[in-house]
Amino acid sequence: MDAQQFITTYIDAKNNAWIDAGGKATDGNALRPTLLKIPEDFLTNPQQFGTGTNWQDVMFRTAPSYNGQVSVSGGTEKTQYMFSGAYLDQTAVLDMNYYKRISLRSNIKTAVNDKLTLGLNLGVTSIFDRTEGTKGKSDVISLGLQSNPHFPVYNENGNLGYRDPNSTWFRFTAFGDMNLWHPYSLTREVDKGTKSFNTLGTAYLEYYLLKNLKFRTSFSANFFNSRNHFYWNDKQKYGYSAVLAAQANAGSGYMLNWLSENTLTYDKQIENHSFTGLVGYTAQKQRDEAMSVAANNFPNDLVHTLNAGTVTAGSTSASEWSLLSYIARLQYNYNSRYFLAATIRRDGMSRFGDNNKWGYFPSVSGGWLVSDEPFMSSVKHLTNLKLRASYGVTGNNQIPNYGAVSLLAASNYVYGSTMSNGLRVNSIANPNLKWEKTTMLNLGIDVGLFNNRLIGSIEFYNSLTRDMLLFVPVPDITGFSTQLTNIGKMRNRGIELNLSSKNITGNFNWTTDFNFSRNRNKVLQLGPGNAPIQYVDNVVTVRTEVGQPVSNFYGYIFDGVFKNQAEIDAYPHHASTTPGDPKVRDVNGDGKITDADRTIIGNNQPDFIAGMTNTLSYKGFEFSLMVQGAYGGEIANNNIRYLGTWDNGRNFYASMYNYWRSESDPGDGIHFKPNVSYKGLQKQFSSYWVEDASFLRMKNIRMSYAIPNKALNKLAFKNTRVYINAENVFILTKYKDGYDPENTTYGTTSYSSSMETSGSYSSGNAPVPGHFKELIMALTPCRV
Amino acid sequence: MRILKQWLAVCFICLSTTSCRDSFLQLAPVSNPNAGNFFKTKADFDLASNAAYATLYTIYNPEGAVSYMGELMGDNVTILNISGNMADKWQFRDYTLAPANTMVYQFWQDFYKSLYNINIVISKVENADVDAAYKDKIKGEMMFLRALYYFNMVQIWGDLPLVTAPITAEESYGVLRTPISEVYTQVIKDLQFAASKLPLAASAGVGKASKGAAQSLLGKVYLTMGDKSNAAIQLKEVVNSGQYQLLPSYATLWDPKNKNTKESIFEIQFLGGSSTAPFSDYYLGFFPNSNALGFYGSGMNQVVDDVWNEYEKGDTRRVASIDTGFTDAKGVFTKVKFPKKWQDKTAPIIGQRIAANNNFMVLRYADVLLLLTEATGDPQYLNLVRKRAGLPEYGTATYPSTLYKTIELATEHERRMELAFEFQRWFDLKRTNRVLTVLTSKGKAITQTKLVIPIPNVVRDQNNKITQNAGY
Repeated sequence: MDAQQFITTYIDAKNNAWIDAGGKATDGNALRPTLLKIPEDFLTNPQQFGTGTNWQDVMFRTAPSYNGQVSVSGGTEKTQYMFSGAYLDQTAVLDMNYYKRISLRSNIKTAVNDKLTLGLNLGVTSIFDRTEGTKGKSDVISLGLQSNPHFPVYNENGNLGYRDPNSTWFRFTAFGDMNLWHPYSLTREVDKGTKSFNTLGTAYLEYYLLKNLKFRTSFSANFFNSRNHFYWNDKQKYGYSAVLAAQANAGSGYMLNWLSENTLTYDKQIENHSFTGLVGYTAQKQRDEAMSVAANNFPNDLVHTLNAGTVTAGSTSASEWSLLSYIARLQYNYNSRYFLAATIRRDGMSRFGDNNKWGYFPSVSGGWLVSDEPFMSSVKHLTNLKLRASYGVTGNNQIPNYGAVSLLAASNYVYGSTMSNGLRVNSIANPNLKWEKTTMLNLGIDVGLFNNRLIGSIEFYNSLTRDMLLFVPVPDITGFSTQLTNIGKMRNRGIELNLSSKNITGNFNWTTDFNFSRNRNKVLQLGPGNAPIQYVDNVVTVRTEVGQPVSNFYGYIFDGVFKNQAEIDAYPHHASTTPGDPKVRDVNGDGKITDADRTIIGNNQPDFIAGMTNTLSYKGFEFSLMVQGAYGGEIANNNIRYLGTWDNGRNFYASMYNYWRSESDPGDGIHFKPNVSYKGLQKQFSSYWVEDASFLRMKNIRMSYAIPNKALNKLAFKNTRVYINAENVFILTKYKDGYDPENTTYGTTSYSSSMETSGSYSSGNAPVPGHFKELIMALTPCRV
Repeated sequence: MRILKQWLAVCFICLSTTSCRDSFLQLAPVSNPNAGNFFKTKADFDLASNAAYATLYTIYNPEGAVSYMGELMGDNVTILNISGNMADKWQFRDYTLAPANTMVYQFWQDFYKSLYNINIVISKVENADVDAAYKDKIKGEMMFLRALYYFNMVQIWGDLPLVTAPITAEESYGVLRTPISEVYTQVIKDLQFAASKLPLAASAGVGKASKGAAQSLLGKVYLTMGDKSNAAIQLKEVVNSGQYQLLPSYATLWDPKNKNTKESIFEIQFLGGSSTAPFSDYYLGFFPNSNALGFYGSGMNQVVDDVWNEYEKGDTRRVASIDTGFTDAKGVFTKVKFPKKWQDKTAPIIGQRIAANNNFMVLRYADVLLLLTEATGDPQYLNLVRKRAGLPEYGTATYPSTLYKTIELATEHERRMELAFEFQRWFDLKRTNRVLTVLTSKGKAITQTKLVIPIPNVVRDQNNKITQNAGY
């Protein structure tokens, strides 16, 4: 809302609560309790604020970005090499945010003799970035949206906020329900960033022990290091919700993951029968370490490193996992027309219980290239037809590193003036914890028509996951709320379709690529008694129950607003209801509104997703358009808590301004009247929070031109292309105020199992702007 | 070629030897201790019992179960703006609690998690190789805590699952709601054990449960059960033990430098001044929901005029108990009433919180004296409390006997004033069967079935044999 709309709504919310408490809207502040007082400026002269500040305009900007790539490759018969480098410099839409990446790669391979080949691949990536706005309710963007619009970008002293004691705006500090998290107090008053370095190297050796028997051994290592720093200027120019002393922290992360792979491959061709056998052994281990330090008490804002302040906290931690695998595979084909393959793996994972570290994972697959059959030669225009089928078991080990072990955690107590260490049991041991297994059947058809000008594939799958690794709720009287257990069953069924067509070929080319997929997910079994698994984030309730897809939104259904007392009298209602309050559906029909009237009100999983890319080219020019969409999912907008209802004076969504005001001015019938102290279910999770997440997005428009080689010969470059790129050009969606339903989601827990009971829903909490453009100028690829 | 053969040999060593394979997958936790080899020595039990005491921080948190029940359900305080799930918090204030209320479930979890920390010490120390005297002391302290928690819980929910040892998830499905009377039997058993084994306050150790603490609580439990004579026996023993006395001034009782005084019987221990020790959150928790002074007040338990007005003229306890507002950086005063008892004016602000040093008294001598008057009808104990407050004694001419006609009403009034905001009010009214009379007279929408709160619906989703309280 703009300042005028906000002020009107603010006043109405206070008056509605005061009327509930027996007062009159005309009563002055002297008669009202502190929390129902209204700033005099709002009552006597609201016009002085004009339309106020649109905080989105303050924090967002047009963001250009630059991208360059160079690659070089070549070699002799015995030795081949490839070197490449790329640089990306992206300015973010959000003030002060950026992303810079430089990556270098080098691949070298040499045949020492007929039997022995050696190779080394090295890649180094370094990223310097500052990215914010993606971490939910307490991040810059969400806080900016919640800030009151009547405050200016700068006050008369050039400071950011009303908490400046030398500013006339300071008068608003008398009200506890004024809100300002000035975006600049978090972007310009904060010096922060992350630097990360990632090195991935693989050295390998291939040796032919016999003519058909190849031994390959490789060793890969991934080194990752990152550092982050944060410094918050003293007092933040009064732009934050409190005036804070300078503070700083720094952290570093380290990861080493190494992998040794060793295989023997045997090839044999007997007339039209072709065999390939493989046995192998791999070992992998990862160690993660983290370090953090915090400091305060800085003399001034001149030095931002922690040596200038007093260190107040520091911590280090580490954890590890390891994985061993044995693999055997046999592949057979007859005449490259009939294909068969069988694989068995045996994997051992450190995370599982002592009794169950190992799991077996077999699979078989077959294919039939029908179009190669003699009897198909008469079928016109059919270039390719292949039938595929596979059936196999895969495993999941995504649990915390020590998930099977009972851990102790610190819980300290004080006696007098001495702090004493304490230790409590933090998790229950489960020595039987084992691999989660998914059995999957795939059936597919590949088709190529008219000399492969039209190619397509269709694939059906049906998978059954069992022994799911879940933090299963256990009765709290055990002292624990959840226990990591193998339990439950879930089915996924779906279809995937891909089509690619060369509509026009020649000097002028037009190709169309189309994809479509849909998945149906159903929970078949849960823990003891099939008790539903419920996850609550503030009030947003996500519930997983048998017979339903994973993670349904669960709450009340709001059927609009009661227009008058007669409507209220005619329908079951919450005891506190007065005209203008929401009409809550009596789902169970018992004539009362209770929490038994909560029901399934949505699910984030879409009915289907689809995408289409059209590419037009003429000589060196190429133009492509990419459209993407999802249909049928819902999103729970967590910002309804702040922006869709009164929440301690935060700003509101503009759409809410159509709220019920009186019987003769009932608004849009959707938005109930604001109230400082809602007495009914207004702030509980309901269909009022849930919106259609369907969208259609113009994902990418790209125009490029290949500079003619003639022009470049002098520079010894070939194949050089110049691009103009526009990403996320527009989006069509019903989701709130044009924000992007796809990119506004965040996981609610840092860890989730394959079932993602708590992580797979969208809270729509950190809106990312839907309309931004970027311009990419690229030179790629250049070959010498 | 030789090099290659050596490499081959190295690569396949682990493939062929089982021990190498198994040890590769045996990774011990790096940054957390493993519970497998704990609960063996005295030092282990000291650590574990410290963690059990630390559960007091949760249960008696300014936004914990005892605060919501003891104050918000009563008539001393209200809440308006408060952080977190506001709608569910308001349900306590409005007596509209639903089984789906997230706070109700939170409190259920808090209690049973805490009980696990206590029960595991009791059950592990039983068979541990430590001396009998140590065993008795640890068990006594843990049983005191267990009794304190079950006593709160049985008043909050009524019948409830009684768990006195660690149980597995499978076993837990067979543990249903135990009737109130049997819960009380367990509470009394635990307190009798504690009272018989624990030393007097002077030698119990600072912050530890003592014989006097067990007897004071036992007296209160008997009184709640309606057994006035047994209550009087226990409470008189506390009075006669010579361990406790009222401090001369009510105000000094709340000085953060005055910890663990002669008046204190059981006190939750905090250490202010740094973020590395558990500091006291009470003043901050009860400060209005505002950040005008550089810290975030939570807005819990905002004082209403009804209690402010009940203080008699000249009662020094009012200014010691209630803050009437705060002054911002520009000297502007905001008028708002909130609890003041746990203010630490010299505490530093760390991370927008006040790192205060105040302890929290769960049991104190004035409480015991007033309970003794309640048990015996003898005003002499109540009058000790009034004398300290600088007020005329009950039975004298200047006593406001038109307002408080009976010793019962006089005690009710005195407890409200003396123990204001110490999480006592609702439990006091409930014990004396006065909730409905007192609260409905103040326009509160309270009914008989609201005297207990609902069993959380999550609990009943998991085990449908657990029954719901009537009216929910």
